[in-house]
Amino acid sequence: MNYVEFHKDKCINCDLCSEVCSLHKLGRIQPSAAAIRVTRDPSPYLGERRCAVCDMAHDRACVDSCPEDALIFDESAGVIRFDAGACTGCLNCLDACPNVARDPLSGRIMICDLCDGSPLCVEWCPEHALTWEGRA
Amino acid sequence: MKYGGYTGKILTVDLSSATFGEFPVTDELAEGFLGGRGFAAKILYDELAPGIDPLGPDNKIIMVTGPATGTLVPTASRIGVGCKSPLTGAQSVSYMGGHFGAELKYAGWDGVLISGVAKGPVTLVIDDGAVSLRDASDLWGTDTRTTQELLAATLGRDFKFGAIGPAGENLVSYANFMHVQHAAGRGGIGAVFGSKNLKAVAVRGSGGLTMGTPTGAYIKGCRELHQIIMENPVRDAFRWVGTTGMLPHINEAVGLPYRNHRDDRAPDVSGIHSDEIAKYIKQYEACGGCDVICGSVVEFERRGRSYRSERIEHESVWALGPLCGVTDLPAIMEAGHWCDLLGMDTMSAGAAIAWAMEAQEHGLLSASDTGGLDFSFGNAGVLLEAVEAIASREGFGDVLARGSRGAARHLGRGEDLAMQVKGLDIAAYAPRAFTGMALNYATTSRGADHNKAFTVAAEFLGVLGDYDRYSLEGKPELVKSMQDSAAVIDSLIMCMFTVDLGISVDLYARSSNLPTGMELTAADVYLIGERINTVERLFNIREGFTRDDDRLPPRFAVEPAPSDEGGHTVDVTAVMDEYYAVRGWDARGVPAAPLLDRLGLEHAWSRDA
Repeated sequence: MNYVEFHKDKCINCDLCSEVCSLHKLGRIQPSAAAIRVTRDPSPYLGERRCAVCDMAHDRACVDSCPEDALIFDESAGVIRFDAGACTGCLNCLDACPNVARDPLSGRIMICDLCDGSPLCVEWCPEHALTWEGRA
Repeated sequence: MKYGGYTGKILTVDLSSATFGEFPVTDELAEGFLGGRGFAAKILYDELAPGIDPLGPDNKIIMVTGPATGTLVPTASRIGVGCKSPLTGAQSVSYMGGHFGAELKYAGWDGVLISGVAKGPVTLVIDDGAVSLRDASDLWGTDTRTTQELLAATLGRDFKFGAIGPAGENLVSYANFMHVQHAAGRGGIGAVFGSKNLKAVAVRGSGGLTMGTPTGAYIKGCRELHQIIMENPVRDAFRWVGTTGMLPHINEAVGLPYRNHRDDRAPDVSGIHSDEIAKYIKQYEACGGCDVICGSVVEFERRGRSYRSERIEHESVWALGPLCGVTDLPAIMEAGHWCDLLGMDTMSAGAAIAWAMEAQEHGLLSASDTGGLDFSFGNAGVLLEAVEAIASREGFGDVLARGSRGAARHLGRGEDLAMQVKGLDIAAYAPRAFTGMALNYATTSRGADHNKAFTVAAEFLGVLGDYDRYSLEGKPELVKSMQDSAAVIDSLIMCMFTVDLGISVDLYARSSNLPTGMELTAADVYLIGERINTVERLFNIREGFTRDDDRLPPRFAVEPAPSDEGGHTVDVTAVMDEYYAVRGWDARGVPAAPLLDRLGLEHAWSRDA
């Protein structure tokens, strides 16, 4: 199983990951709706960085929280898939996992799908704070 | 509008009536002025009546982004903050990085135009389309960091903040506007915030930006621009020590102003070498959209006080250091830290202190004038004392709060020792050593700003040609072309460092075209830049600026730097006719009719002529 790994001590908070992710997935640059988002503790001055992206550890809290079949686990790709047609907009998934985001314009639930095996955020990260890891 | 990259509207805020509105960014505005500095030039020219008091109710603040801000275009996270400057009386726009500009775009606004005066201290809160004014009485008097932390705790940590400190509240004429420790630094914008009782701005944006180029081609095009920067060897220098790596080289070249420009070389800069500064670095920080990574967080101690702060920059370490004859690094970093937190420009603060040092040495200031502060060159101890006095305007601080020229005029002596143009203090590149910088300092609309044409790239670094740095030959053309391309960089808004990182004028055209969908060429970039510089000039002419204001302090034409074995001086008046002619300005320095006609500005000018 593959996933995007975040190395907080290498991140320089440039936001290129969420800019390119949102553009690729939504056709708009909209970091708040990206499937990867970097935040940080403001204290002490410019404190620790955190990254919200699906870690593919897959306790699948988002899937379990979905009362419909709008979120399903795609076993062949090892990622969660979103089906807009089945989504009722209950937003349980957002409460279930902090790594889930939502595009307010389309209502689409945003979860990392690894860009079909070539994650753009990893390619664009200038400091290799995001890496493409395999997991047995 | 038909172009991508923009949100298409500018927020208007009237503080007097606490009302909000908006006006559209038209296709014509975008085509003529592109964004950022161009929009600011046009809007300030149109909105500000001639002769207004910069600190009175009629001045306005324009915060403005560019079409590339918050997109994937490299380094384009910046925001410009403009007004009629209380330091110079000219129009002035200051730029800062960080994450504030992009957030404003995501909130749906290309800019904010602020007018009037609030009845009491307020914070402007922009939460996407929901705009409000929030009582800031509890924040008044707090420093820029505390203000931002208190607002984050109250409004939410996903907002981005900008704030003034006590210096802005007390109308220090070079007070700044701070986002984290990024400064919209020069020209005194913070004092204009203070005059309007506007303590802070909070912005949160959840919206999206649509590009004028199809997604696949857009990502590929931006990736190529990033690769050019990533592969440039200069990137590695910025990557580790930011701008501070330059200082020892400029000093060795006898180009670093020392002791208020009496010399252009400090005897020993080993104590403030970038290698020394780097020892304090704890982590690296970038602005949004940037892979240059010139920022970092440092931790240091001085006299038992511990600091965690932004690593000091080249200009700041110079202005509070060699310019004052000081090379005590912790003292310089401490003074720089408090300039940031109290909210004032490190460069003009350092220049005002250096002016006082030379004035004291000439016997123009007595101990009773200075309230006992000892402004001897090299006295590191006076830096923080002076910075605190300036911010509070207590004692002699009230004099220095007027800037070097303002202090001299207030006291009626020592104006020739004020190392400034139009009131804005000269930057860290010696006019005698880099004559292109000298001509640029003399002629830019906002005073001696090094970022309006960084000719050091062409005169010393070998990036944009190989000019004789002591000769004025060819400099009028060089300065004009660099001033014009810089105006476009400030309009996109990209970082000026990209000039040194392999981004040519062709690539600034591409950086414009990718988000907007325009089809600009390098020639169009120069034309837009020329138009922006001309409108800024028209603003200043309308304010009464003349050819007499396009000059350097007399020192540089008559006193060589003692350390310069070549004994060079510089007199930019020798090429001023040539520079004006290259610009299409008449002998008085007024943009002439054929130029205005070519730039499509004849209507704007004839209205006021």
